[in-house]
Amino acid sequence: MKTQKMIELLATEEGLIFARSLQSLGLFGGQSMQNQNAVSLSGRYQPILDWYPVETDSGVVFTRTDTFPCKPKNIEMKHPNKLRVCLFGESMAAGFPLAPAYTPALVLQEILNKFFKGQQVVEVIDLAMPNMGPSEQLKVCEATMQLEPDVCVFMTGNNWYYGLSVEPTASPVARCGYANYLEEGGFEQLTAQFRHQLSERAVIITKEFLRLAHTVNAHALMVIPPINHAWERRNPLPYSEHGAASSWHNYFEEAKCSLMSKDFHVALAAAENMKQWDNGLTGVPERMMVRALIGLGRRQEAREAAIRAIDAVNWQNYSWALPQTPSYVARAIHEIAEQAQASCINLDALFVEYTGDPFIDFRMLYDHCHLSVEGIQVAMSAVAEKIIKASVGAEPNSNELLKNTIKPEPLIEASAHFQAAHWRSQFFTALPSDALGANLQNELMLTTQLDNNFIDIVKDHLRIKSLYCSPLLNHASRQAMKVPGMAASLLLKRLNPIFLAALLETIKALDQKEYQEILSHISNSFHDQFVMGLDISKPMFQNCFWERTPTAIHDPNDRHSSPYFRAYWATSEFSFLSHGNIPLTLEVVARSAKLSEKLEVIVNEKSLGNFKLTKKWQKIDLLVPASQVQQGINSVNLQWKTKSFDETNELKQTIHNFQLGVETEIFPLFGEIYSLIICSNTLPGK
Amino acid sequence: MNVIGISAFYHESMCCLLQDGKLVAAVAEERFTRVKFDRRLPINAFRYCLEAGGNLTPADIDCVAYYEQPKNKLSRQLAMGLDTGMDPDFQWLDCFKAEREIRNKLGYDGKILFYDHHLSHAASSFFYSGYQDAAILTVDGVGEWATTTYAKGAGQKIQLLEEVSFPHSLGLLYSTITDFLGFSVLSDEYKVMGLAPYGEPRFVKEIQNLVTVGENGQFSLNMLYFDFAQKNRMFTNALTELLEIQQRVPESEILQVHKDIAKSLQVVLEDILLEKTRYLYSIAPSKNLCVSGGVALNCVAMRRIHRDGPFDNLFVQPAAGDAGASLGAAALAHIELTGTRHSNESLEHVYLGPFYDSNAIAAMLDEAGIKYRDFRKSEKELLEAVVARIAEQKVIGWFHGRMEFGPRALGARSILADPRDPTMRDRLNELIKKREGFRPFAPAILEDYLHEHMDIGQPSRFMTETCLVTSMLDLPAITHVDGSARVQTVSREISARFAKLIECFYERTGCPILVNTSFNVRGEPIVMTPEDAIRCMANSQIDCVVLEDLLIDKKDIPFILRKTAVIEKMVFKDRIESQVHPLLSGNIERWRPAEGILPDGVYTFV
Repeated sequence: MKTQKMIELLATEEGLIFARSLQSLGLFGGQSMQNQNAVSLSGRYQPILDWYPVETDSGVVFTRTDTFPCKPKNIEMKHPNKLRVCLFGESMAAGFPLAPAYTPALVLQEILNKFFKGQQVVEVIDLAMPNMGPSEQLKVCEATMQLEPDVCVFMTGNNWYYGLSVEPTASPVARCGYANYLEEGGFEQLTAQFRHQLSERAVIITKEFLRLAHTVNAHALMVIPPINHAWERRNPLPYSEHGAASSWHNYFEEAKCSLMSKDFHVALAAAENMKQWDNGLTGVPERMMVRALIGLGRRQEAREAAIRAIDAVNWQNYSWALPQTPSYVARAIHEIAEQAQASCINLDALFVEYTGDPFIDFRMLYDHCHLSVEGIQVAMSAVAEKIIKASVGAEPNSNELLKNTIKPEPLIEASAHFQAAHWRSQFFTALPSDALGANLQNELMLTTQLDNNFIDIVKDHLRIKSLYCSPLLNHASRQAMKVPGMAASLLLKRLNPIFLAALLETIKALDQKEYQEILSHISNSFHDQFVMGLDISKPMFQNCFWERTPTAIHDPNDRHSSPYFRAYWATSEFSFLSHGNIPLTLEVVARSAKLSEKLEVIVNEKSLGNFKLTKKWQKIDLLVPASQVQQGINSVNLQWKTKSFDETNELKQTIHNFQLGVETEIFPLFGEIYSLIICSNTLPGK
Repeated sequence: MNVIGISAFYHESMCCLLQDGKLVAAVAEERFTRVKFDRRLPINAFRYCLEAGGNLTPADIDCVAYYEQPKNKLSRQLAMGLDTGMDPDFQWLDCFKAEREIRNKLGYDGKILFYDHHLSHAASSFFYSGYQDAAILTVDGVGEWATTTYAKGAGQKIQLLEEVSFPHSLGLLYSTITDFLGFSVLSDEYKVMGLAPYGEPRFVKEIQNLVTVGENGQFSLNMLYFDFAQKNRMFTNALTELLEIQQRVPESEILQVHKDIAKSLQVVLEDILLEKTRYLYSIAPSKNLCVSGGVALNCVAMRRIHRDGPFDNLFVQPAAGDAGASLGAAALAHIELTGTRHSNESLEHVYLGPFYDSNAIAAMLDEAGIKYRDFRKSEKELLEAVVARIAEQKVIGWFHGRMEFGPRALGARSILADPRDPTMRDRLNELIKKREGFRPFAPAILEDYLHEHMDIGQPSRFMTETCLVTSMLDLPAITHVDGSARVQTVSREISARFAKLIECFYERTGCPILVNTSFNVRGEPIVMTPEDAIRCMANSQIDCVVLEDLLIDKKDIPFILRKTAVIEKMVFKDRIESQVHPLLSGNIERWRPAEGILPDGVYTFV
């Protein structure tokens, strides 16, 4: 009977909310969490990352079962005459996207070798690993003390938010937590809580690093990661009680158009207006300001706006947690290091001094957080300077140290530029496309200048855009797969028109004949698919990295993170390739959402008509005349006509769903697209 | 009238479409996502069904039928106790999940009908059997509360006569011993069945201690030996003491004692099923028996109740497990909406998945730089080329037509080989399928020659029963250690090209039988697309793949392709840290993301 009553209760939403509340208070459940916390750190020797302790005749050796080019196979216990430097960190410290051929640890080793000229044997042990979260970093650091380092370089902070992000994959208990903060003060409160927890965590981690280094009398050096002020991303404004969405989006469109027409004062004003509605939640107005201010030559102000943007978005956008170090984390690291009288290098300040420019951009970083070759050289020279000073008391000339840095092979540097450009193209959605296109094309041209043969890799990247087979099966991918680090790049989404255009333009400029041949081949593959109908709203075709997917890498099966296209922005952009001058059918299956009821379908900047939508899926069949289909990239833009609506109920529903412990929508939607099919014949079923 | 049937959130999920009473599509989600036993909502499968139905949209669907009652299931889960071991997050407390996800993730806003789990099972066999009357037996681990039901089907009605309730379950008994023997629960039960013939039934008494056969249709588990609320095992220490052996460590050597336990379990299961089938006959006399539920996939037991039981005819739904219950739910919804049964014909075939044409495959191979032999103009030459290779003891990946639904490969996505080769079984297990050496392979035989080689009374097109091999030919690759085989009979009308291939092999060798096993390697779902087939070939020792009219020899697969699968499987080491450092536990606690949400195969960049 009791069970029956409980079921009756749980089969109501109120009952489930009550149960989730009990759970979040720890009144039931959470048992295994306690067990998980009981991490055993006892035992004589602990493994360090993938190095496992092995007893040998000459003592304990830490050894890896697999080999990794930039990591030693074995690490022996410390030799008294060697200066042992351990470098800790995440993907930035590991040298992505230049690793394993070129890493901060290798550069540091080389600088120190050249400085000491054999008078002091130095050994730099690279313990940096991509994708390491704070718990693992602490564990690695703890275990590394077995190696008795003389110097510990902590080049970390970008990934410390792991586990704190507001995410769709959160546990029911975490969602209950979101609900509490949303109830208390909306998304502002949730953001504040994230920042509070991340700040708290930064203090805990920094103190612990310094304490651990102290236990073995190692000199500790904190290296605060820099941020790329020119990095772009956008995320929409979540529901608010003020009904801000329509105004926010209208100002966004205005700012975007003004930036495109280089009307920077208007763009700045529109971004300021956006900010009134945004309240520092998304960082998007600040991003628009950065663009406008750079256009106006006000670089110091642009820097400040960029820092505000990064601080704002670091509560994450419910889609993609981007490794970066917000300014309040940087401050915390600096303060704790200062209190402990430990050395500290703020790479942001260092780069400003080095470049003479307050605005740090792609010269020093490839993307949001990964250092360029020059960035690594400058950073490691400064690190080396501190190490030398701490170990032998000398004060070397940092410019001399910088001269001693090694350079990577041209192919490796070309590959890094290519990967960075490709990656960047997935994110730069707030940047006017012409500016981004030029930026990407410059990068691609640079790759071919760095290495003459890289043009073939660029061509192959274009060839794998054909729809006949998936990129890694495509014969054109085989050469690129031999270039370190390029495999992941091959898997990025199939169609990103801005990157595609940059690829095409690069090849056109260098090899007109082959350009025509490749373009024709890819277009053929599209036309072959048009016969049966090609749904260009599939995740693999969507233009850019967009909200609600855990990955920007092409995974044709990621419908589970995005079952169908949801329009979070007033313009939904799609594209396809064609030979041009052929009539096509366009079938749109769409329905309206709160922010819009009207849709305009635009192909290659010409309207195919306006349509009123309802809450039911609706099929709209359109003919795209031959004259409107062009050779090469064709754009299909769905323009949603914005309308105001009261977001209070939506916010309440969001809170209610979080209380139930379930995933829910947090952004206002313009509309939804079930499919967007391009066909050269009439579709079946008509 | 478009009715969608869905099963999800426990075993592998599946979606099917009944269009004006015709089953036009049925496919499991795992085939699209390449995540074995993917239990998430079948989003890709749903989209495929709509496409196969003629470019439908969710607005064209009249009803979605779901295969169980979440609220009733919740009552049983609650009764099991709030043990934190199974799922510390208690995700399952949310009985609205199925409906919510159908609305939010499929974009469907119409009618949703929920049916009892075992009723869906019963309907999935009876309404697809073609029988107008039948006794119906459903046996599985557990649905909402029922674990076994006895019912009677007549026309468009199913009348439930009796049921056995949780925790008393033959499916859970079998799963528990599967677990004890070091195999995976909910997937490896069939391995235990395959292991059984190697053993002696010397633990029958002990196994009988675990289950007491009761009056009528009842039986009960002795709960001293079972604990289903634990995270890592299903049994108690009492079972270890009873069998006087520790649980086998997974992947460790299989000893004779393990084989004996498997055999004993199989004997006890068959005895109980036979007795209960006889009881069912007494309350629902008919010539016909329909069986479904996960236990119905035990083809050895099905053979026994068919051979020794009181029913003349047996129909076992080819996807008898939970996935196939989606068909039953759809059939029930069709009746509820129209007042009539969707079909009075028996399910003819299971070729209800995606199809790929030769021209598109040729374009794919050209683009991949893979050489192939093109037989688009001559099927006869293709078959001869394939048969020549099989006769040379080569192993063939055979990809033709629409993909099968259900766990068995039936000639659309199959690996084929010569059954006469004495080394073939070990070779297939070791190099091709990369699986345990004891596991047998099934024969596919032309129906015309069935009685010359197999002791079975009637065609068995879905591999749902075993039989004795009576052939004069020596067929070591398909004959199990006890002389049995899980046969697929191949009809010329239904599987035309596959039948022609076997005929061609017969003409060349005098043997109308081929080894037929699913086209995949261990841990991978059966291939669905031509690209899946190429990857599978690149990563195994398959000698040759036939993709519709095109033939590819292993030597023509570039070596580098063997790497691609590794790269493509760069598993997302997600941002969820497996162990929270004690210093951060207070800080992280309330924000901890759920574990296990993201499946393998999701990729990351940094």
